[in-house]
Amino acid sequence: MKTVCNSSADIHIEMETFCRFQLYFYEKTIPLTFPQLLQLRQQLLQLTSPNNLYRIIENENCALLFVADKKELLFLEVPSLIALKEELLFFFSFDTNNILI
Amino acid sequence: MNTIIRKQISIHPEVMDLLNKQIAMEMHASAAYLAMASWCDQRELLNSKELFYKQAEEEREHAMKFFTFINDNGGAAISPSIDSVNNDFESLKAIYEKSLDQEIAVSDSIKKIFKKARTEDDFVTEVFLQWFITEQAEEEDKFRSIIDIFDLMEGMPLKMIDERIPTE
Ligand SMILES: [Fe+2]
Ligand SMILES: [Fe+2]
Repeated sequence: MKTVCNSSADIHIEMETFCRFQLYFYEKTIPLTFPQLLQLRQQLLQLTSPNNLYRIIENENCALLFVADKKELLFLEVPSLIALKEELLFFFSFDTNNILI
Repeated sequence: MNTIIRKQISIHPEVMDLLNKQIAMEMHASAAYLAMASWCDQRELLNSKELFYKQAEEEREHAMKFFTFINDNGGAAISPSIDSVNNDFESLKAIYEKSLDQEIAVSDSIKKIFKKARTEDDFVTEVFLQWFITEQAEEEDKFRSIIDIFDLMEGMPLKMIDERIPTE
């Protein structure tokens, strides 16, 4: 089964099986488990907090991020950092009206 | 896509973020009470010292309740960093006043999560938080009545006041 999460061609998440996901990040394809996705979401929320984003823009203008239990390293410029965060937030957004009841 | 996430996690991700913040708050409260316990311990205020050591343990237990709740429901609990713990106090009364302020802040924070859970239809978290709502009301009441003792016994030696403080 393949379910595409978002429309962005460069950055998107697909579901492979019940507990296996793929992150497509430009030319990279990174297999991720659900806990690894949760961890990535947390890291991105932290990196894009107003203070941290300001610090990144004021300094090196990019960030390095370990993903998949430190097996992969992503180089993120500010636009791709924000795009990846948006993708993760979209992935984790759920409308409870549709599913809980 | 929504249903995919729902199959992995039973609590709302944004509610989970607030629950993680709550873990940090409980652990900070635990550390704050430990500092208060030490202040009392050094001054041989036996009842107060016992109360605050107990409080420190209790707050850690609260943090652990949130911690296991998040992980048990498919989320990711985060072990927090605890900074700026105050170890400097002016008086025993000030310590109890600070404790009440801290408990009120915790109550407000829990109510905030409760509201968020309600708007997101996260009933699992809502039910889980009910215990904490009651617990916080008890905690606030405990410190309020201790502060009353100080007012009633104003001018009395500190150790006599301390002897009147209930340790349970
Ligand atoms: Fe607590
Ligand atoms: Fe408390």
